Amino acid sequence: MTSSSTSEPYRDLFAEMLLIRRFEERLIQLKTEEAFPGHYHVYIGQEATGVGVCAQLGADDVVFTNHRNHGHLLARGADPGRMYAEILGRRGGYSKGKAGSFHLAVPELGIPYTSAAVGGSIPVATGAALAVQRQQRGAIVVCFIGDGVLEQGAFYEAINIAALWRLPILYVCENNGIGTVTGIERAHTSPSASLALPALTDAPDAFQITSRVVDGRDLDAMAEVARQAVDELRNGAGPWFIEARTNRWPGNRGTWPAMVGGPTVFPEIEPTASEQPESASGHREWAEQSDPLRLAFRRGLRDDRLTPADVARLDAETLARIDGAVAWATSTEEPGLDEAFTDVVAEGR
Amino acid sequence: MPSVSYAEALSRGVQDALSRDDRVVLIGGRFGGLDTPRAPFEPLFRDFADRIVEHPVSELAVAGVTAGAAMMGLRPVFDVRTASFAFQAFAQIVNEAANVHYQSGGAVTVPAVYHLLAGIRGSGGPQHSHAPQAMFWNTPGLQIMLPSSPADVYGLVRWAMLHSNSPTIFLDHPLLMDETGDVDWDSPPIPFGRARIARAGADVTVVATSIMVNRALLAAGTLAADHGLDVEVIDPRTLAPLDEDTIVQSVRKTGHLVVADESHRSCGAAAEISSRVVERAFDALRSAPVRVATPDVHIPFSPGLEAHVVPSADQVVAACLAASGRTATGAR
Amino acid sequence: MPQPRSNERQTPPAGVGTDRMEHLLAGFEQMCRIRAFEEEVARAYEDKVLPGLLHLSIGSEAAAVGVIGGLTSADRVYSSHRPHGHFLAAGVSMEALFAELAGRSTGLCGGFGGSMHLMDDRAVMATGIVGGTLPIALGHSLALPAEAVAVAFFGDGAVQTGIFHETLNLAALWDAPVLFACENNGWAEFTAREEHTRVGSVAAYGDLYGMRSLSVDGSDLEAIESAAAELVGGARRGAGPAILEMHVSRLRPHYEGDLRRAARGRDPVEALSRRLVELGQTEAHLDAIIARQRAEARAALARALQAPLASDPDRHVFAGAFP
Repeated sequence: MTSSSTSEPYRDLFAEMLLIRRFEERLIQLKTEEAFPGHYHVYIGQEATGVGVCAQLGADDVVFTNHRNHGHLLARGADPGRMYAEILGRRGGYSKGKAGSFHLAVPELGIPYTSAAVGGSIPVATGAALAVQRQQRGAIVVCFIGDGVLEQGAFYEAINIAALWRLPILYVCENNGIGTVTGIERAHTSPSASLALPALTDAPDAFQITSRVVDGRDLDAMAEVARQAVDELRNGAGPWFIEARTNRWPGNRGTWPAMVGGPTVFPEIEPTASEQPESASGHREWAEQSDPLRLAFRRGLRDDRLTPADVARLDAETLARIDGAVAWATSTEEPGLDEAFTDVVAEGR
Repeated sequence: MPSVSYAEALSRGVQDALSRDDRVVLIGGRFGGLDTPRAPFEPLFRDFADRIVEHPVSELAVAGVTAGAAMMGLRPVFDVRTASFAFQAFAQIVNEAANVHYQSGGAVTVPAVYHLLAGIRGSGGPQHSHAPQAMFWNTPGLQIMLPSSPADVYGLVRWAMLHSNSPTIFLDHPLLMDETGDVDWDSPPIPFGRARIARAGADVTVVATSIMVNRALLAAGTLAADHGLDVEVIDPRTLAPLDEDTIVQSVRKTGHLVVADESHRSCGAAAEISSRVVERAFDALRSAPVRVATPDVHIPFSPGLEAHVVPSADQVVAACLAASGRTATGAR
Repeated sequence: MPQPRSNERQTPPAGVGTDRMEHLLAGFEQMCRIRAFEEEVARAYEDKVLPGLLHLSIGSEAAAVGVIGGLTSADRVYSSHRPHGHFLAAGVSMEALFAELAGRSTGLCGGFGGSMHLMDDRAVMATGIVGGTLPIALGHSLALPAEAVAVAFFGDGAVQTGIFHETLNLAALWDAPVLFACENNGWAEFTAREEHTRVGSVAAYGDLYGMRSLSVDGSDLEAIESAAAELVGGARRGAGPAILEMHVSRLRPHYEGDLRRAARGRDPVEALSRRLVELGQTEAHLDAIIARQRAEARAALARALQAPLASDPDRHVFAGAFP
């Protein structure tokens, strides 16, 4: 969804989260089938953050993300088929297969470039905000980062500059924690073994940047804070920093994601559906308390913003769409070998 | 045509670009170096103050900011100043800005210019004297320009700022600022990848970059007067892209090659140019190429020591004599 | 030039004992030593006797003497691109320093380094890169004997570098015995602090990184000594790193030859001189100290310039044998 709206129907936001979830689950399955090489990262467990933030953006706004980018791209309306194709290294991918999962970007949707170096995108995003400010487009820039970025000097250099120049940039720090304990507060150890700051938001605070801590599992809370941030940014208030906390999905452990607990099920729809074995790793608890998708579903039910029939239908449509995307992606060609030598330098005119 | 200083030509080139294209913005703008702004740069600061963005001592972030602004349609020029400071910015230049176009499958461009004052300036010591052209040349995705004359800087800087579509490392040299030469203010910008024959000759081809061009021309004068040797001096003006054809054509004529460049000898720019010529024109070479480069040592502070390691006009003379078989030993 | 704020350390009350008086006089003489050296350097530079780029410590003498004077022989000092005062306060001879600035073989580094690349034993290293010695000082501190500390001097411009933050984060995580000593003159080269950051106080970064910090008037030797003693003392006892922000005046341009108007402000030598007079010293006695240091500086420079220029540039590229 690229239309800017604070009144985007709940169902549509839920549908985006569901799309991300099924996309990632299918990707993990593709990996077990050895459909593509290399390392990759999934957005399972963080869908409410990306969707909640991106729902506040317009077509002119710009997004920078990182190696954990699939959710952000889908939230901005990227085509799943072209994304799969890129991850698979096919010519039909958004970057002709030259970027892969790490560097997935969609310039036509305002996602011009994705760095996979920790802290790599922050200076670039900050520069994009400089351009947007000077161009007086009324647009803003969102830069999604992980908590590890605060260990990088580039982060401090960049936010100092953003504050100094009052740039229209929203830094969204997705702190996906390390635990599976209940309650967001306890999941996050600050100071940690690698960062001395008592709280992540201490950093933006020190630079006089507006900051908020939000429960990143909560779609409504994310949307509300993001809406406030975006409104203020459009009015020239200067940069914002949102720390969105989630409990890491158990399948994120290890170098490659693993489908711990199996594909997401909604007991409210299928009472007899159960998690597959491996839930001993704490997945059941996570699914009950920290899965943003399940939380959004339950709240939607409670507030009459969703019905089980809605979700069942959405899920069927989503799975079909994913099937179609995978089929398309896997049917496309590898890039021609000469592609390795193209696009090195753009010729001057 | 007026004879003007390099600083004047650079300043006017920058002003011209700023006047022609609103997208051009200067991040930092002290082109002349640490000195009080030289008179030629005063109009730049006076007339384009709103196009100059001051920044903190944060080369890493600012280099990335430059790339990000370029991706969004501005045409920024980051004045990194002393080339050695570019090392603080290396990650953003080499591992971000340089990758964007390729990684996007050609969809996104980064028309950014990074201005560096490179080379041995005199008493700069080990941390202010780097000539990093070879380090950047070993990075795909970067263009590298090193003008050596007022006319060339006027032409090349306008190409970089108005027409280039890729990140450009503009290697300038503090010792060039006061050099003078003729400039046609109405001349068009000089596209990258076109060498200049600074002096036509028949006996030895000397390829020289940046400050070494003038030293090579001095050497050519000495060689003509004292040794009857007629040297052709070629200034590639850009290393990436490199005008190999002009160089090869010259070597086919002379049969001898000397390459003079201020980066360190090992894996330096002279090494690459020599290699390419050997690959393409081995049959035309009547002697091995000779390099004139800074030796693989740090640049010492003490003036006598420093003078001993700077690649000089005398070394170019010795190299040409060696290449042409007039002496037994090559230049250092 | 920032004014001292109410929570800054002020000087102890007037009236001092003999030991204290001797101590203050010694500090005064040390500061005059630095001042005399730098004035000689400025003159020599103007006469084109010294090459290179020189950044003078005129205005920050109390910072150097106040901090380094309280250190032991086991402690180590790291410096910035403005290192002369630090190295003199650490005990390097004027002659060795002049000789280094003049590129002589008798120089502190044999003429190889020059002003920004001084290296010695107690004062370990200067740097031409803003913030460049911060991580090195941190690393060194981890290798020091128990109760020894490393002091890293830097200017306020370095605070905007990423390496400052990475270093402070690590120092805090590792409880490293480092004193981060900031000589805040309100300028980073040619632009004022406000053009570089919205964060006015360097000491405030102590809150961010959970380390002790103090802010003092950099022209007040006693205030600096007191603050440094507290912060260094804590580091010795395992209290971890600390930040000492000293507001100094840069009484000369950023570097010699910079024709921009130098910042003005409080002169630490003048300030201490007034204080000593208040405490009963005579002007004549203080003038004699100044004259002595000026004479010594002049003589040291003359001796330094008689030494031969450095030779043999291939030495020292690698330590030890290398084919």
